[in-house]
Amino acid sequence: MSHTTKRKSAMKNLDALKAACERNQDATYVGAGSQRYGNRCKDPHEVQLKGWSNKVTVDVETGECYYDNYGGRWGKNEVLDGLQQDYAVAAASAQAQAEGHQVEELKLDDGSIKLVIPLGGDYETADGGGGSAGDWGV
Amino acid sequence: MPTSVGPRIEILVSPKGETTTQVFGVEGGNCHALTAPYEALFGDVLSTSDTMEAYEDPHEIEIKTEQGDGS
Repeated sequence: MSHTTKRKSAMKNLDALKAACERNQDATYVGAGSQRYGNRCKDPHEVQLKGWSNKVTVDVETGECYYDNYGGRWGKNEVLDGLQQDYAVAAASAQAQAEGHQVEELKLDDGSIKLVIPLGGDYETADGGGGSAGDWGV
Repeated sequence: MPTSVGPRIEILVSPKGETTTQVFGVEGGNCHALTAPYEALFGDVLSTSDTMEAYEDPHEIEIKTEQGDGS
């Protein structure tokens, strides 16, 4: 039995947030704290997005984003979406590498990014055979 | 297209940053254990389902979107 899980984006890992800002040319990590939303957050960090009048505050304790882009007039929502996409890619890639796995990153036509993580070690596979790290040739 | 075949985790990240995690080629009850470290990095679960057909064919993915707390 295999399974599929869908999750909404939440930026809860500071290292991955910083890595996402390095991947994303439209995002710059500013630093810890937030004048505007600090009283609402447990662990606020600010990010400046390209074309945005105000900084975005990310509470890495909860993963929530706080911002005021005036319905898109003070900053395009797509730019924040791109940061969240890069966050997910950075977080998953770091986890895979920490587990000793290689990561294959594929950009799809619809703008999605697919990460393929071959599993080393012994697993009971669908064809009845066992998998091993040496089977991959990657 | 993926060059990897055999036991693997695939994570699809939508342009809005939502993730869909699938395990291919692994039988038994350890699939959740394999993906748990990755899913812990992401947000709340929108849906989860066990699938047999995932061994052969990736599914069409329906992406749900949610915006952050804009004010």
